[in-house]
Amino acid sequence: MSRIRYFARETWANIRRNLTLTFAAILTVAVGVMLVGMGLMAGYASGNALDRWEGGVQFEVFMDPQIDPSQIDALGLELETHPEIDRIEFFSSEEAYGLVSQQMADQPELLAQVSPEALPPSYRVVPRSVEAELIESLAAQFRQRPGVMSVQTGREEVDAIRTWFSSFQGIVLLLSIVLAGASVMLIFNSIRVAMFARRREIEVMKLVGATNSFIRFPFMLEGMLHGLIGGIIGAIAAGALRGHVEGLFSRSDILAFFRSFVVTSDQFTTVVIVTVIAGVLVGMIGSAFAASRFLDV
Amino acid sequence: MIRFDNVTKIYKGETRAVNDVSLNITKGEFVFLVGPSGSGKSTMLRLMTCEEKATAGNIHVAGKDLSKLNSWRVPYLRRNIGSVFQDFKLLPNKTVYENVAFALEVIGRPDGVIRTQVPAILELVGLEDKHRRFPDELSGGEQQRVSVARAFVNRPLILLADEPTGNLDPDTSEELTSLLDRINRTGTTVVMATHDQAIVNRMRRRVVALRHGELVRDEQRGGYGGESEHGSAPDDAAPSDDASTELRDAHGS
Repeated sequence: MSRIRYFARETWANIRRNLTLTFAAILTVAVGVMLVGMGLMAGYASGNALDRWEGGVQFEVFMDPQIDPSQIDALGLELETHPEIDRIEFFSSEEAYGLVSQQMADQPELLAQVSPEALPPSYRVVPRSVEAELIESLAAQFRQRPGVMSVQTGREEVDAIRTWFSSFQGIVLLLSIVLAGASVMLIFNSIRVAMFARRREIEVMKLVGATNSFIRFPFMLEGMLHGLIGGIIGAIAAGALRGHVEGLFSRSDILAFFRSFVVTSDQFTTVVIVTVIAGVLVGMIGSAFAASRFLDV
Repeated sequence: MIRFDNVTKIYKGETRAVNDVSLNITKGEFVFLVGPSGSGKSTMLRLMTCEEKATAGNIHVAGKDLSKLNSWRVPYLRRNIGSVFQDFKLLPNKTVYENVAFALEVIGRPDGVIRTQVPAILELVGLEDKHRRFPDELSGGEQQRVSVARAFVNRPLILLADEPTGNLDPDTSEELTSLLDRINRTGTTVVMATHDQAIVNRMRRRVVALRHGELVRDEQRGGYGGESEHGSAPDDAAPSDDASTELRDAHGS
């Protein structure tokens, strides 16, 4: 009992004495673990979205520009009545040219080489289901039809998105490692200052035969507490970020594309656990490092 | 209780603070360690508490061979040794009671023990009515008594005092020494390093004299004996014939 009271009292006194440095350490931990949470959530969100889109939510059937318009219509009818297909949209050669000229508006010399007749008319096909295998099999089915030049699924776009997300995650991970290093150093320093402030007590404790672990414990506890508080703040910040980003995606039409980038609540629980543990771990490492450096018999 | 066998301590490969000292202090003895500054008195005490490791030779304290003592056992050794210093080493933000209780608290003694032991020891040193004061509200002599109370509250086998009267006036020094004497009479071995000639001469206890890290005299009921060492011992610090004779005499008596 006297021990618990002693540890609680000493830890609290240390934190109060050293408020600015404590604050800096906690904030750095918070930002660091928030980044860890962000990286994790980005991974989850892209994973969730890409699972659904593995084959792309839609695909495009490009026709040979030379073929007879009736053949185009026949294929359109076949697509439209296919039980697995929800809806289709037709783009004539002229419409395709319109799109291309929009995209190449600032490269007129390139555009000049394109003629509307050379561009293939196409159907944009939206299947009823977004299952990757179904889309792939539909795409394969229509690839065989006469007059079809090519069928493009969203696979490449999905791959591009995946690449983008994984490099985003890489950057976030790198930043969080840098911040974890900074957190360890700040906690190390704040514990060192706490030890310096209590050097008389430490001297007396050694003198009367307090064990090293007894002397170290309040400092370790303090470092862990820094980490824990930082971890909790970071987790809360990550939660706020999640809510904000998801709200942004669902309100904005431009970002509608990202609507399926959501983190499930199970995954978010994992994020919270990981961030808090990361915080505590950083606190423990920093304070253990300081204790072993500055508290030898 | 404390035995030094041919102990040498060399700091940083340079200074020979203690040179080939052999010494045996039995349970219940009161020993003065005397000698000029830098003669190795403090080093002797620091060797006993394991704050320093001997460069050569063996030290036994309270039945433990210090050269074979694991570092994690050192705190347990120190629980058998009380230490008192010239500068008291009291915690300024704690009251007299808290300063003494702290020594029990940090070695994990239960509350009940603390509540009975601390008042008892404060009574022994005569500070029971000042237990709520802070150290800076006390005189030097009172502060030193608090530090003796802290050193003795755990009833150690050995009490080491490093110049405990160095900051005190002669009367207060006398009081403090008689307190240490009373503690000694409870069976505690007391080793006191001091410059204080008056006290050493008055007490007529065992005197161990050091000079340049060497043991030059060990008398069972000695005085400070400034004249013989200061006068005749050569500065290069090899033990003189006089000192060797004194040593033999001391062991014979």
